[in-house]
Amino acid sequence: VQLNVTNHKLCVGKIEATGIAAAAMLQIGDTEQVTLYSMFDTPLESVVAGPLAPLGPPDETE
Amino acid sequence: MNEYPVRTSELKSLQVISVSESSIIQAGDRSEVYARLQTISVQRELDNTVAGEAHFSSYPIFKRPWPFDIQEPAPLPVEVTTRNLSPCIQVCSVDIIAVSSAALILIGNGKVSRAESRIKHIRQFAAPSLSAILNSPQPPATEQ
Repeated sequence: VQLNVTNHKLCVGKIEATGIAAAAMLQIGDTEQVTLYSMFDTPLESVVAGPLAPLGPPDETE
Repeated sequence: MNEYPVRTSELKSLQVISVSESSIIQAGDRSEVYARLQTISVQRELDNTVAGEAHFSSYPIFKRPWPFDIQEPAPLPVEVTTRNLSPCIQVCSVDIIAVSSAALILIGNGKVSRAESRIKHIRQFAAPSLSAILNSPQPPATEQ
């Protein structure tokens, strides 16, 4: 496959962003390859109301 | 018409209040970037010296593979030819409040960009202990 790209003027006036987070990307320009991964986990124990149990011990197999 | 092999980035104003956690801000060209972040975010009433540390190895989120990987070559090869007819990328103003968790900002050309973020979020709240509940004065029984 032959892909021909012709770039003319690239002019940006104003960009306003509140937040760019968790493997996000803001680019003004060319790129070839982009890979963005994000995992966000709030588990069952994410809200623990009770006596303060310690967090899980490290895995012994590691 | 003139052709330019490389474009210059012209940036008038860039305002960013906070950049954190494996984030990158760059003006200009780059080849490859690999931003990576692993976080255990713990909100609790006791500090680590009393309640113990959190360990990455306790949680499978830090071990599980990504659902797919596009590092393998594409089955159909694509040949890209780029012509630049303008000598520069012009940007007047960029205003951002916060950039965090392996986020990337690039004013210019990039080749390979890769960012990975794994965040585990835990909140622990203390509840009154059982003995404190048993010893507390009983509320008067309401009459039917």
